[in-house]
Amino acid sequence: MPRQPIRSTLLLLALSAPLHAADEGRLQATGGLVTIEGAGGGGLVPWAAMAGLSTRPGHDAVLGVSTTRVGDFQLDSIGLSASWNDRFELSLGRQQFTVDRGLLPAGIDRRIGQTVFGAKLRVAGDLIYGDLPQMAVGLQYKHSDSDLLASALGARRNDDAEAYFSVTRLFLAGPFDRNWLLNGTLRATRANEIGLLGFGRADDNGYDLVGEVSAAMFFNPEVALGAEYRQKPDGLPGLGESDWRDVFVAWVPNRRFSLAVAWVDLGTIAARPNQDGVFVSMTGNW
Amino acid sequence: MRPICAMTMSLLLAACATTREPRLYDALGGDAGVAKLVDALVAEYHADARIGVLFENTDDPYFKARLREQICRISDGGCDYTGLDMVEAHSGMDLSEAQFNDFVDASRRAMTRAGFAIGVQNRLLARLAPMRGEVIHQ
Repeated sequence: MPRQPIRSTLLLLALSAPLHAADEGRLQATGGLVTIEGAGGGGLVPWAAMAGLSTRPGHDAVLGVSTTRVGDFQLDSIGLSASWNDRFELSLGRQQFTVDRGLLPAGIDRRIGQTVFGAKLRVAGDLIYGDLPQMAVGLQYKHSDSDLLASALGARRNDDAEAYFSVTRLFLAGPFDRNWLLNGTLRATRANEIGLLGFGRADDNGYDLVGEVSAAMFFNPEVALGAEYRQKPDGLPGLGESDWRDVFVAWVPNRRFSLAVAWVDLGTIAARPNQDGVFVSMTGNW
Repeated sequence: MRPICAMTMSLLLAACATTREPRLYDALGGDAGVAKLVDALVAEYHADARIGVLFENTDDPYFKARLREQICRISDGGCDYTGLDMVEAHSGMDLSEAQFNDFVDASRRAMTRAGFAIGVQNRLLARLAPMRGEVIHQ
């Protein structure tokens, strides 16, 4: 088995790996993960691909959980995403952001929650076949629980809608004869720290247009190595909001389960610099 | 060689690229390799729970001979394909996208079991992919 040496070099494959590739559904683990916002995509960036492995005809539902642990903060997410005919996706995400003990005075809630309702429609192209890459438009409505904190920091509101446009393609037999997935997303948003710190700011009620990219190389149908970059708005004054990035290894032993482990760099959050750490995401579908 | 290529990809791009077999046909193992591949593919199609039924009435010796020609041709082996074109061959079957994906998965399984390396599998699938439009919904 030519894949064996690759496996043994990857830490997470210390878990027992089934030997068969995905045996039904869409090709090549193209279902991806459920993002921290609930949409189908990578860990941080939504793709034009629908969550799960739904084809035409067909439907699929995916549940994803993730945790991100960086210097002073923790972000946990759970997302449920359903797709129909590889065309339309509805998602529901719930996030909890926790500030480390010691950064806030006793008695103040260290947790901020946010709910994200998402919809995504494939408008053109195909992930693998034909001339055009897959393109999709998405809408997200976010509701942050942090009324007091967000307004204290200068945010205008604690709920908002945002829109994105994604282009995604799996290139067969690219460099190293491996399959490569490339994704670009443009998002119009007013979110401060993806909405956890509210939306907009006192002196600016306009949307920012930000870019997000993902790239991944499949060593084989079960193991991919990739990176993501997510641009974010300037954010609230004095907090130094940063763009986010990560480098990940994803393991997709079958069509029911996937696991991704990433090193993630969230830059500065709420004026606390050097927020890098670990991201772990698990996805299951049925 | 492949794991080494993958692990040192940022360093040895040029070196790895030069180890690539120029013709996919040779990478598949020439005549003998293509024959082995076709035997494995057809066995897998028959055994597949979802698409096996599509091959119930297939004339295997004829189908295998045409498949060898087709794979030889698209892998630059220099063969002529003497069968029906892809639209004619699938006419009236109205294959769905899901069935096409099942077919791709079965093909990949067969290639893995027959010992074909992932890179060679990807190269072959990349050349079969453009035929999809002539196969589905006919």
